[in-house]
Amino acid sequence: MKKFILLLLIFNTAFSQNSKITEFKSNGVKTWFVERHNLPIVDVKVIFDAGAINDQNLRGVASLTNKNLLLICADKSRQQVTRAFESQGAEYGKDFGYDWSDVYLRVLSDKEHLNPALNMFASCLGKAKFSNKLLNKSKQKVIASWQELQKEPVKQAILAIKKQYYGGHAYGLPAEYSAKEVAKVNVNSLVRFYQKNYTKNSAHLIIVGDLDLAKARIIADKLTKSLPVGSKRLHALLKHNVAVSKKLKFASQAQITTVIGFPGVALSNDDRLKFLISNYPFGGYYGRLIDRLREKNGYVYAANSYVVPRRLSGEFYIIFRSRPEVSSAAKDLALKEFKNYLSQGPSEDEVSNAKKHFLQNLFRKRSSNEGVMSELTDLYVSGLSLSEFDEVPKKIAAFNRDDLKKVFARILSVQNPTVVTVSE
Amino acid sequence: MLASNFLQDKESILFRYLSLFILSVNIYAGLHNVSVAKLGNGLRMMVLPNHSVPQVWVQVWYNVASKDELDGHTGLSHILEHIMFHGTAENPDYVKNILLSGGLYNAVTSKDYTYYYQIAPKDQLDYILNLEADRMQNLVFNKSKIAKELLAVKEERLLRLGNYPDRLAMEQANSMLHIRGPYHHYPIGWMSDIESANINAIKNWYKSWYVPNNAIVVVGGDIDVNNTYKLINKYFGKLQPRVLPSRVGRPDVPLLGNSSLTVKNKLIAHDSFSISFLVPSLVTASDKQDVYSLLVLCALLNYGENSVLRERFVNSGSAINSYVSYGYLHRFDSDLSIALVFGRGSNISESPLLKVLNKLAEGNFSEQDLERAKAMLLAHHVFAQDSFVNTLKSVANYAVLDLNDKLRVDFPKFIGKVTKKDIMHVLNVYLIKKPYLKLNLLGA
Repeated sequence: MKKFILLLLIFNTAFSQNSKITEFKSNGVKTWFVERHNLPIVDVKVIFDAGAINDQNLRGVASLTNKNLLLICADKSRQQVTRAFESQGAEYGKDFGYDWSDVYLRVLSDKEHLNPALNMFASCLGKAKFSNKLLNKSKQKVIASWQELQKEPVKQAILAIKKQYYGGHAYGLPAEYSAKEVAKVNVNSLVRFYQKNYTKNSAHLIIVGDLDLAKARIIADKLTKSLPVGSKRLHALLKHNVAVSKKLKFASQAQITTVIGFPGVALSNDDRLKFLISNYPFGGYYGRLIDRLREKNGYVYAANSYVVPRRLSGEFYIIFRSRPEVSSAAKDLALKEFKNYLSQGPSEDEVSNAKKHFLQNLFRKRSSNEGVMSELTDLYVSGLSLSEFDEVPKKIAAFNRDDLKKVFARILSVQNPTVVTVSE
Repeated sequence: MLASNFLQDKESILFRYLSLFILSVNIYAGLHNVSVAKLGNGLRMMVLPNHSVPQVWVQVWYNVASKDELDGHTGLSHILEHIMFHGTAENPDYVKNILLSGGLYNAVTSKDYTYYYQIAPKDQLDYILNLEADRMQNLVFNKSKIAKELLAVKEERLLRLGNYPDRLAMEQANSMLHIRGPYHHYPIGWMSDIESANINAIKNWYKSWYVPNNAIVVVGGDIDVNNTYKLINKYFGKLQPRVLPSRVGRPDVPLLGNSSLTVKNKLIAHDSFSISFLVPSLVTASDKQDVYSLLVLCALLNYGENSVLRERFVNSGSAINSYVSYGYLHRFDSDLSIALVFGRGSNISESPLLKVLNKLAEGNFSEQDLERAKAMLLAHHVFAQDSFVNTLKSVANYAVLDLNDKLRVDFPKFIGKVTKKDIMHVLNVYLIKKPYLKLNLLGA
């Protein structure tokens, strides 16, 4: 424990010499600002409670609304908008998932580049406009993603498990949409969705980079003042249904895909961090799973397990692919190792490795603007406060073997494993 | 300032472009204080301090890769890369020790180089350098471990290629384009060569190429430059150099005419085509400015929503997506590929694309389009500095290709110099009316 405390001390000193974190509200929108002058870059992200779980009865509307942002706005054509960003060399875009959607901007921090890009970003956000032509183009891309999904055996296997856990909830369905589904979405649908979900009450702003606090406040104000007020929404946590094992048929597979699923936990769960760390010795990049399946037996190239926490629930997966003649043996071995780990838990050495790995990873992440942005995004979507930015490393340092063993066993003993294999 | 006023103001565009260009040059000069030296046994060393986090990054780059492999022995460099994780007599558990410190390790085999890296707390520097020197010359070859590793390599090939008919098609198209050149096969090698690889061939490959005079040690992070040199010398200085095998010259054979490959498969989701041309790399180009012009051409073609391909094909609705790729950091002649993706059953003739390229070659694009493409390239260059790992890799990549580091430092200057005439020049010299390889991928 002492060595961890020293490690934290050294790291915190290095980080605080380069970065200053502040929280403030701008037009009612909570804003996290990290001042860093290592590079002349500014990163901005606005996160909205506008993910697929808000589709309600119109599947695809959340995704298409997100995809149609930053294209045109009230008084600017698509060409004017995109040229305004690109002439500054700015990188901009949007992300979308089940739980959240966001828009982001990366731009150089000198005012000649920053101001025009930010002004356009703010216009597009506050005065978003939608057109049939652009909607139809984005539908084409969405349908193309759906067509790609049909060719992905790992994703199909995960879907087969989630569908059983969550039924008709958004989590149980793909985040890609078929032509039949998107046909029902029109421009009015986008306008309604945007007005209801891209609001002050559903927004969170993160700014990282080469600015002082005064400038950051100006930027925050610019980005949030035109958003409608809206209202906060509550989403109830989900329970898992019971799932059964399946075999899926797929064309021309050189390997058999095996996905073993278990109910997991939501992002807000108090044990999520312990669960994540306790998984590392078993299914992490250099864990027991890959050691047994690959190093000892040559069954696979990669075999890992994943803690997948979502806003309202979560899952846990063991995933690997192997040639047909050893696939069954690989599956049996994976399940055997899982059962052993469940009952024995990690060794003290494995716990120490895992903690160091996560701490060192955090340190590396925080050495770049992109890493800091990513970590703050994780904090926010997990429902945690900014103070956790400093607390998370301390918590990791304090975990012990018993904690980790109990949490892993408790979470993954709720249901039997659901095994889905995908083959010809 | 309104965006519309801004766009009409040419002077404003040029000023912004110039300020970005100056900024890029200054950032480059400031950040990249790379220290370079060489030991008596030929080992090159590069050291780059970064005190923002108490960690070290150690990379060892070997100038051996798929480019050096002859037919029947493809994939050997990659297989050896896998075996390097088995350790030595003195350091059999080095993987475990790196992990115990919370560090990371891995390796990459490419067409031109193989490199190994560790990222660990700074107090591990001594141990890691000792380890890398040890496994440069004392690797243990265990028959049964190697047999299992070859199984894992086979699985890797299936995972990355074998499950995907479109990727297998791209592999075959690559070998049709690079008919007999060093990039004829992918680094992972053909499956039959993986299956027939034997311990003696792997051992010989290791003994031939893993020597100090064929390697570069790159260290970055929370380090002292002089102390780092001393440590490298302590562990690597005693290693003996060896005469390297002569590298068999296999220049690519230029295509005599267009050729094509069509693959139809149920697992291909969309119809697409790509056309690929042989073009010089930064090492082989007789006029290096051509390479920068090709890079700017790629940005003009496909970087951003206002790029030529996006406007002409994607935004107009005739294509779903467009891609352009050009690997300029290679030891031998490289390729430039342009791809368009369509819905099923579309017309995938390349004629419209060729017409677009012809128009560009005639000068049918504006100075503003050119400046915008350069602005995006230069800004991206600044953004890339956010990752220290990428910075180290870039430094080492130039070094392992024996490129003068000044080329890397002056990248923004070279991009800045590219003119409209240069773009037209490279189009006419390398693409227009030149033979290409066309790959058609069709869903079934």
